[in-house]
Amino acid sequence: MPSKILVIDDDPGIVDAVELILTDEGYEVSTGYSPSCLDDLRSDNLPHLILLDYLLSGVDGRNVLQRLRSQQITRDIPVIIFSAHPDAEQAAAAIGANGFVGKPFEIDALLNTIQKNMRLCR
Amino acid sequence: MDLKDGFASHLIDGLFVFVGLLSPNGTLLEANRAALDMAGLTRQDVVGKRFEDTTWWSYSPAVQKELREAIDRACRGATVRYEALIRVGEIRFIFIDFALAPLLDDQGAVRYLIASGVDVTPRKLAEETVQRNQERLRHVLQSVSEAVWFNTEGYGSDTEDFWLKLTGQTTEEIQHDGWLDVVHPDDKERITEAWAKATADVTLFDAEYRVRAVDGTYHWVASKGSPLRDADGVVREWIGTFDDVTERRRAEEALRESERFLTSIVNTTPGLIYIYDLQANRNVYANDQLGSLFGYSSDEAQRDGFLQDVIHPDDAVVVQRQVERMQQAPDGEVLEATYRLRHKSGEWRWIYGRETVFARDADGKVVQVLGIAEDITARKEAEEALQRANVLFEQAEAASGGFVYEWDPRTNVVHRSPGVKAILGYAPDEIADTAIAWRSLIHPDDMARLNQIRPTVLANRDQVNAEYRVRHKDGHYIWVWERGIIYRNADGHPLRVIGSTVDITERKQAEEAVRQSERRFRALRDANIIGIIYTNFDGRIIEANDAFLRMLGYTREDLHAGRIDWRKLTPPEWYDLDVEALTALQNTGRAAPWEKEYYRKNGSRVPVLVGASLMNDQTKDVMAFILDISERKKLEQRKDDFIALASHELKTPITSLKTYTQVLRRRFEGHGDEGTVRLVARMETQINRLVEVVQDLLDVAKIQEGKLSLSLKPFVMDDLVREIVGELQPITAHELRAEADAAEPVVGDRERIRQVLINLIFNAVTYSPKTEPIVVRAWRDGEGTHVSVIDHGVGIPKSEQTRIFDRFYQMDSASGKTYPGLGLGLFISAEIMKRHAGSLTVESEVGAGSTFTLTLPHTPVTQGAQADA
Repeated sequence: MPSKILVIDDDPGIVDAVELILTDEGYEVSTGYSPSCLDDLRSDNLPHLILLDYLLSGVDGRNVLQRLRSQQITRDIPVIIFSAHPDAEQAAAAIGANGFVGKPFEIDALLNTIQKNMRLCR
Repeated sequence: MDLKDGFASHLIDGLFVFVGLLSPNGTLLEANRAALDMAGLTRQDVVGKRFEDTTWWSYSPAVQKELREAIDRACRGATVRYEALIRVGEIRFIFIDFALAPLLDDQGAVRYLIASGVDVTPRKLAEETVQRNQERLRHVLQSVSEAVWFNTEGYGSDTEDFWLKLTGQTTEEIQHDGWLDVVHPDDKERITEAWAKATADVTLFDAEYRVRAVDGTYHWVASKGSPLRDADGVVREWIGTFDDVTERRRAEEALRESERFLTSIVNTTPGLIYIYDLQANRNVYANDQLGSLFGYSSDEAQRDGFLQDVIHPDDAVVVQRQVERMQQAPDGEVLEATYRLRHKSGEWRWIYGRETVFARDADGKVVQVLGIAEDITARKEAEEALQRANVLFEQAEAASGGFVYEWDPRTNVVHRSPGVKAILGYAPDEIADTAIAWRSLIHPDDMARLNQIRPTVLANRDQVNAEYRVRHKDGHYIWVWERGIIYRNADGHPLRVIGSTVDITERKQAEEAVRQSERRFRALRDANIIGIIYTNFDGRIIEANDAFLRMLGYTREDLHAGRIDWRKLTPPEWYDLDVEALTALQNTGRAAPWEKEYYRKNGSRVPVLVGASLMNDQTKDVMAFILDISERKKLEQRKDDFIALASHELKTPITSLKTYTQVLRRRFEGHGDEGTVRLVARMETQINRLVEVVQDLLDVAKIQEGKLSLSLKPFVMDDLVREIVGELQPITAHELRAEADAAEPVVGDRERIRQVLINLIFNAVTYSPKTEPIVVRAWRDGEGTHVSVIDHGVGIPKSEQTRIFDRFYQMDSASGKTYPGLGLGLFISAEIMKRHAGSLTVESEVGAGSTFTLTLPHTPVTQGAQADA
């Protein structure tokens, strides 16, 4: 059973491109353009990893992460922040993200980070 | 008138006896022929005149007086008879046996007086030759004296009259030395002796003595007597004169008094008064001061050669010149000379002499000189002392930057000392010695003020004290401070003002500077654009301006109630910075501005910039300026937000583009389409360059904001070098040679150091057109860890080597070839190294290549890491 990855970004181009890559790599990808997609998460469709843009049009990634960590079913899902924000790497560490990938990224670097955190998770 | 007409008249006329008819008041009514003819007169010459005024009698007041008295007695009914001398010609007199008898009317009243006289001259002449002499003497004496006396046993009638009138003594009382009763007791003995002596010796009697007058006062009488001898030489009687000489004696006494007075003046004059004879060359007179001033007697001073003996040798020429000048001097001119004379004690005395011509000889040559000499030794000494004082004074004056003046308000004459030149540029004689001249130099604005106060000051004050501006000779104004003491006479009128005027321009400028500074400070405080407080180390805020109170939401009541304390206003995390600032204040008196926060009254925070200065070492008063930097902070936040946003907005499309491109490459690789893979790879390279440019711009923005943050962690430099060389070698034709010899961990931002090294290697590649090998060498020494990137390319001219680290620097090449990039790489690299407290340096030679070396120091973080280990 392929690992499931949830990609959340407010830029459709990035969501689309990342979906292509991850699908090519054999992951099962679901996407969302805003944190509201998290509302659809249920115990039977939880992703194995979430790839989260830090600065979602006005919604701070910090809030999203806190929300995930505060809920029982999503608390242990690894979250990788990927962001074009200059200070996002420090911010990601500060708020307790599992990994960080700066935008733009090399595909290999992204895949390495995902794989590392998948393993960590298991 | 029976006598006047007919027979009687002719009878009388015919008589050889002189007959006259008088009215009781003494007017001559008729005179007979004999009387008229005798004197060669006509009736008109005498009739109607007072009898004593007629030619017969008018030659002597005494005779007139005698006649008048005879008339008076006759009027009282007596018949008067005496021998009279009457004038009958110009110089001819005759003696007559004169009788005057009253003619009574029926009632027994005197109606007429009958005067008659018989010429007895022949008899008289025959009587005595001596008698004539006596008579002659008597008349001479009569003409010069008030009374004539005879002494045999009695007195002459003249004398009796004189004596009676003067003393009230009658003829009887005079007899037998009775006259001595009225002589002044002090004179009695002297006069008695004198008379006794005169009678005994038969010499002249001459005495003056006092007699008591009727009114009780004493009169001086001069009495002279001479013995009259008979033909046989026997003294028969004395004849003498009396004169009342009281007035003369009084005048003489006054004269004597006056002389005594003058003499005392002359002798008590503080000066020496002398008369010097130029021809005899000696003093002929000197007053008493000679002794008291010089110790010499008058005799000593009058001997020959005295002056030559006592004159100071140095002053002999002065005296000689004075003598020459006096010889030429006109009357009335006073010539002065100052010289020294030797006191009898041997001391030298300074003399100030004034001389004038006193006497000339018949040819008009000056013979004697009158002089007054003063001893001015004390004055000279005072002058010398004054001169010494003046020297001191001038020095003091020069030091004080002012001058001294003396002003006489009555004449408005002012004397100024030379110091006026130092402060005003005018010599004292260039300013008229008047108060007006000075006032003309005073600034008009000040003059109005001074004019207003001057009358009050002169009328009521003891001192003058004013500050005002005066025009310098150059035209600019200087500030002066005038202080003077007003001296007044007994009535309170100002006699003179003595004072000093000093230049206070510098003080005024300093004062003005202080005032301006205070004005500026007040303006700053009142403008309320910045918070200002006075406080102390304890935290209490003593005073604060509105801006500060507004900033924190407090009221002035809160301030005055002592409710504001900067310690309580400060959130705990800022305590450390406050302590640092207080330490700096203690040590250096000021604290460099630091940013902190205060709580507002409502509990919210306000970011502020605080600068403080110690105002008073003792009281530890501190003045602090507090600038509300909320706006700046907000602006900074917005700027940060903008950078983040711009970064995000640029990077987001690039990220999509790059991701798609990578997906494309991977798919074409999967299909084995090598040609398309190469094309997509180039596309990717261009996208990467775009990414780098955006990254560089963001880095520069951060550097400028001072926000380039580092993530410091230990890493091994050798590993980083090998990793980079390994990554880059595939994409360049140049040989990259790693010479790694720094295996010890270092602390730094690995990603940023990597950025620097990649940047240096790319530059080496770019500027090495002939693909020479590039060496990347890492090593350690005492200073730190170094990495050099060494190329053998075009090199950098010396003149450019300092500029290559500037922003947007791009190297021009001689061939005109341009190199890619924004010219930000070395700028960012150098900044990254600076942030690590390290450095980036270059050594280069044109045509031989360049060596860029980064240095990462051994940091305290490294030591900390060792401590952890």
